[in-house]
Amino acid sequence: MDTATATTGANQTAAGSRDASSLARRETTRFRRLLTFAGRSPRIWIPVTFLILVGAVSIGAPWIVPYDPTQLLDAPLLPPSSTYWLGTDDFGRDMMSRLIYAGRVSLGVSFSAVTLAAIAGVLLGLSAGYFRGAVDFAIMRTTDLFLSFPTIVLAIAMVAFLGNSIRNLILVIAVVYIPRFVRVVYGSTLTIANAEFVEAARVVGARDFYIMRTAVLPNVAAPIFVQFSLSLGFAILVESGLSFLGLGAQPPTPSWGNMISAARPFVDQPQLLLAPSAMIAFTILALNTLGDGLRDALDPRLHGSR
Amino acid sequence: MGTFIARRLMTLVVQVILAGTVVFLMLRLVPGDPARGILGETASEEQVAAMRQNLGIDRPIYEQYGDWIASAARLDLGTSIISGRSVIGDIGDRIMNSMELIVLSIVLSVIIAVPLGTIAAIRANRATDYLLSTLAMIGLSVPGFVVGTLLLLVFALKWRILPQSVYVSWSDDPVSHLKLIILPTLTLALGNSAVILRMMRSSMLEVVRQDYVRTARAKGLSEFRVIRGHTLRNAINPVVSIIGLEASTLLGGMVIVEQIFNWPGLSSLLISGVLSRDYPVVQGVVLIIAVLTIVINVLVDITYGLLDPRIRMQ
Repeated sequence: MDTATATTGANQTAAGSRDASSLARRETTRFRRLLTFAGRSPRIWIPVTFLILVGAVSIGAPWIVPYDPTQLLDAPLLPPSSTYWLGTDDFGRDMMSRLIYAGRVSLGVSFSAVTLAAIAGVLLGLSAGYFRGAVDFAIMRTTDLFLSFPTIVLAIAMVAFLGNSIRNLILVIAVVYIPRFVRVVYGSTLTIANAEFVEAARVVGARDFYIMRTAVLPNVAAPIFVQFSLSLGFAILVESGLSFLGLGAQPPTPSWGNMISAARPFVDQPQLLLAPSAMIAFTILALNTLGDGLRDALDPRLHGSR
Repeated sequence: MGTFIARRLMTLVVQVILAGTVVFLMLRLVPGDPARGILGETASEEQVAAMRQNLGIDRPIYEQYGDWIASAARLDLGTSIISGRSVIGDIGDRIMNSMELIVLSIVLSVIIAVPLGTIAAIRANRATDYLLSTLAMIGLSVPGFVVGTLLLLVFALKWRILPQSVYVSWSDDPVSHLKLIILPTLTLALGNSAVILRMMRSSMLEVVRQDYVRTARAKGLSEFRVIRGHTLRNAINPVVSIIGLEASTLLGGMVIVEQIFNWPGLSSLLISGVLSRDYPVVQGVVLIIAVLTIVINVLVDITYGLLDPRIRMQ
């Protein structure tokens, strides 16, 4: 398929840059077809439905929650009841409201962080793979360097030195996930940047940035989506891990991680522990399943094999 | 083989120096004056100046850098601001506890994952495979601190089968020590074995499609002999390399798991260092964890080379 489009590109070198954008359009339709295909796969629509639900509840939290999540309402450690669906925590705050608000914090932080990481990673990976030479060397060696630190340890260290606040948390998680995006985009860019249609666009004098945006980016988009889904899962893991250790979101702000940590002494009220644990587990499970499903749906080699 | 190992050791040295550089630069992340940050607003100018000298940040940056690398090479990681003890000494006291956890959990996860991954591949796209793959996906998704907290809740607090977190060393009482290490090891191993299982399954599926496997079957070998004699050795190679790649996840998980189970490893040092802004301690522990990650990776690479002659030639 690539050879066919490349030949078309070579025949119309005069209209090279226009050709690059029509190619990009064609890639977009191909992508839409894949999404339709994906819609029929339960490994994609089940997690997507779940994530949309969790996302909507988190965004709508201020209008949905029955009580103020930080207000001391009633006796501590009440069992679940019709008034407090998940009971109250050790400070007498409504668990259900806290769980919903915590989702807002955990998902908000992770989503912002991974979005930042994706933007930075895509720019760096594209540049490294497209320009090669010194740019490639500088970007890729730095990436390798960051990858030699365990993610959570790097995050802990950065929080230690930067100080902890929600803004720094987002920044730290973004930084530790940039290398993953760089790697993924770099690999795909290397193969695309040498394709004849990219060469053709360059011959007719299209600017580098234009070529990267219209010819290279659409062709490396698929792995970015997969990586986004997987990284979001890991980012939730890091965010909740840091909060669990007391280095992330600070009480009284609820986050799934610090709720688990706070619930540990109260063995007789297992819902305090199980509710946030289940939310973390199911959210990450959904993101990982989605990532896997997307990868299979987007990988043409696997079509028909399942 | 000699040159292969020598080359890997060379890159090890370079990687360690670079990791040291990153750790050095971390102190520059501190907004404002780190000395002021540690001492707080009420400290006098003299105290701050003394702390700046203590941290070595009163001199030009290239001098500090040269010093940091030179003393790190001599295994001198400075002294703790809080306790005044040598950082490397404190690390030395705990590193074996951490290593014990890491090694045991790698072994346990291989024991769990290699046979199960093989079974999943043999039974590909049947019920057993779906069950195992789903379990692996769950193992991959549930974070270590959730698994650990739940295990602790069930086994130590509810059922009281296993003791809860009063550390006993191996030399004092081997049986109690073993009982104590079960839960943290299991917590770390579950997540890790999920990754290895998935790798083992897909690697095995690749191999059983090869022609020589068909030949082996065609000459009438039993399925067991085909798997054990012909496919397992080839399928295991990518699995060995994934253990290396997972080393960094494992050491990260270790930090959290040690914290849950009060295991006296590197983690307690790191976390208390972070909470008390004891920068030399944080830098020291982070550097050691990075070095451990790099060393495990190199060891895995060398094992990989021993197992697969093709790798050595590259």
